[in-house]
Amino acid sequence: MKKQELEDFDGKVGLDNPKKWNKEELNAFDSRVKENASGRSPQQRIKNQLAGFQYSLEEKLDQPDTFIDLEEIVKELIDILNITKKELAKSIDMDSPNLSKYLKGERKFNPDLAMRLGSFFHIKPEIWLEISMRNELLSLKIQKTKSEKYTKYDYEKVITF
Amino acid sequence: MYVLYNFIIFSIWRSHNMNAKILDVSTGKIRKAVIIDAKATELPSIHDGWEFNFPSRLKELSHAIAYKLILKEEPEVLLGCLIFQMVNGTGPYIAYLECSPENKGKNKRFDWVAGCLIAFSFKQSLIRGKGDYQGYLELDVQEKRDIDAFKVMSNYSKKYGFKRYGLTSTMCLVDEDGHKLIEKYLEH
Repeated sequence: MKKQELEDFDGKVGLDNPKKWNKEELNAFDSRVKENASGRSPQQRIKNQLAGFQYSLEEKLDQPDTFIDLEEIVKELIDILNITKKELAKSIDMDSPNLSKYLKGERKFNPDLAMRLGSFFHIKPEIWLEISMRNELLSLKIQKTKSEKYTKYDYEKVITF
Repeated sequence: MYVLYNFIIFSIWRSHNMNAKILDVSTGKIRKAVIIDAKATELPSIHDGWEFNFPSRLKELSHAIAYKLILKEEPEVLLGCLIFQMVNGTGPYIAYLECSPENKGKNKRFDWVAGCLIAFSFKQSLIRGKGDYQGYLELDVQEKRDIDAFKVMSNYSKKYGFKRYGLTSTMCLVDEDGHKLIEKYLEH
């Protein structure tokens, strides 16, 4: 097996004994990271941040019953890009108060807006829509705890058998 | 408070499975695979024909999580293992990565196993790395013979885009090279 493994040099990586991360090693690690970062373009930095943000959102969506605040997400994203909400709204052909209403849930979030935000931030439109739908389902769960408020809505009170 | 923070962060890590793609060598078809987190008791060791003792290694490392790559439709088929570390809570590092004995060498059943686990690690760097550490991943190569270590490094450089630091055993994967691996080996 050993001979076979070394034929493609892809089988394993790692040290025989775990690396001792003492102060010297940690400083060396940090220096390498900083050296690499010094050559990183602002575009690349933003691409990394946006990708990391999208992947974090995907993880959050994997956790049931987690409310994700769309307005907060947009705030974090415009901070990454260092633009204002007004600039964002203008860039996606909307006015800022209108966009806020969608993000607060006062207006129905829709596939068109998911496409606009997805295209602008390079974050999959499915994620935007899924967050919106998830939040609606969570608010339904809350409404269900107040179900007595809705018991008056019943066809049996309307139809006579 | 710090312990509690780590517990919460690590609990979140444990909840996420990642879909990946591997290549069935005999048919040339792509098969679906999944990367899942694993406890020490679920990991292979030298007694199972592996070169690393994953259970004991995991116990020795701090800020570390172990992952298994398994076939989606046959979850009992273990394709490879990974121990990913956030060194000192900040530095993304592949401490150990190994393909299963059946998936090494010329007669391997599945290819892309290492690629999936590296791409997954890079994705962790994007998610959990902060500041300059985001989009940066390191590993160390060690073989009994220097010539073999050199060949592993050459392979990792050509195949995955890792860069070696001088004449050290340390290699890093950064930015675009990592994004390309996510595109190739992970499902979106």
